[in-house]
Amino acid sequence: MSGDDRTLPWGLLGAAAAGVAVSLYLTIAHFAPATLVCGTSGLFNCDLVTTSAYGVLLGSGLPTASAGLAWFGVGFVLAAVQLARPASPLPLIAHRAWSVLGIVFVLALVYIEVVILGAICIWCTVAHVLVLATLLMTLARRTPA
Amino acid sequence: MASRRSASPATITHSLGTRRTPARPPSRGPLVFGSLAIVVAVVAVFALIRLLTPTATSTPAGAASADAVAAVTGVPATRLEQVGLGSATIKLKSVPGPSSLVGPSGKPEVFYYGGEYCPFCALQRWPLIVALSRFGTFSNLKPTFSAEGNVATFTFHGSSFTSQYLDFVPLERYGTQRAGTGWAQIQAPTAQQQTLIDILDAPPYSSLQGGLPFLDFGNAYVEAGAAYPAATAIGFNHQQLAALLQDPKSTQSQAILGTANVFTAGICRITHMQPTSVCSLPTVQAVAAQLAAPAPSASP
Repeated sequence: MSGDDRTLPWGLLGAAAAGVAVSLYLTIAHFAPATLVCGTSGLFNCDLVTTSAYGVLLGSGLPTASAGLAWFGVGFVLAAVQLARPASPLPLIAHRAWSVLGIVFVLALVYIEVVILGAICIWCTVAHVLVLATLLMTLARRTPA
Repeated sequence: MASRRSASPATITHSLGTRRTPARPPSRGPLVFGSLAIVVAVVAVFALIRLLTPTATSTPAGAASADAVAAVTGVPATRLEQVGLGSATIKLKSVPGPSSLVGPSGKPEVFYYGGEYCPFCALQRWPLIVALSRFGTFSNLKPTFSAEGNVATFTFHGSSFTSQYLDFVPLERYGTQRAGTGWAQIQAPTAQQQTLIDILDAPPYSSLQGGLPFLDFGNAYVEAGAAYPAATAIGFNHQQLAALLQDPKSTQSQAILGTANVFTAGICRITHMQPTSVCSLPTVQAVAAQLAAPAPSASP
């Protein structure tokens, strides 16, 4: 096992933990009463994105951030299994497939933010970057023989 | 055959007199960087689509514009009573102290501070216009869309309002054109307005110092931010929202007309509950009763 292959599962675990934290914050913020105010810089607008019609999963009252919470939660488990069983190829393959699913969902959300809403949620972007980092780390890690 | 033994790699290495390194698995770099490049390219395409697509959806013009304005300035009292508080909550905050806000004609003033780019200002204008239209008449109200979020709304810039009960002073500080990382200023606050903004559009009345939108009802009540969620209006044009306001049970009526009743009650409080045709309506009275009475010297 190379040095990279030893450290990457830890990176995956860290990204998942950070993703859980960000998603948890966004989920709590969705339910907590918040004042919707515009700053005058206008570059990023979390409130607009999270309180838009796209801020909840289709056909439910669940915030979109809760999907992130679930995704990162599963990712955390998959990373932990890779640390516990470094010679097993299955957890890494599963994590790769999970990451591809995640990045497709992220690209759909980025499309909504950039093209439809014209506003970027910085906290959502942090979560999106963590999904991308997870995908790249799962691709960088060699599959155990 | 059984006696033949295959030479071990070590034997081969030794016999050849050279050191052979184990076969290296193919580098995963191209896969990683290729995937990264694909994701970056897709996001770049999204940004390009956004840049090449006109931001504002069709702003109504001519008769359609007049219809949109009429729909928001002429909501019947019966419909407003049907909605009652709707899904609105009373977010007006009482301002302690005796300093009153009096408008240019000496009447109690309603001050609005916002920007044309701002989506939450766009949301807030709907119930504000509905409420103010119960006390007076708007002219030159133009339909527009917020630059952020494309929320259908109206701009107060260039409009006027006449009423025998109050003065309405709107300040649309920023337009829809970018200026650096912010928005170009189209209207500057007066020194008095800036002082008011510095003091009242700030904690504890607002979560953000100088944030938009900000409403001041005669220095008796203030409200910072939008009164209802953006999901209520995002994705709808003026005609669609106007049609939804015809139905008292629609989500939009519940939020916008419910909030309009809250604003109406706040205005009634500073106009000494005048006119009675508006301020004696059950919903208005019920909300007004929940608002702390303005300080005596804050009254006109």
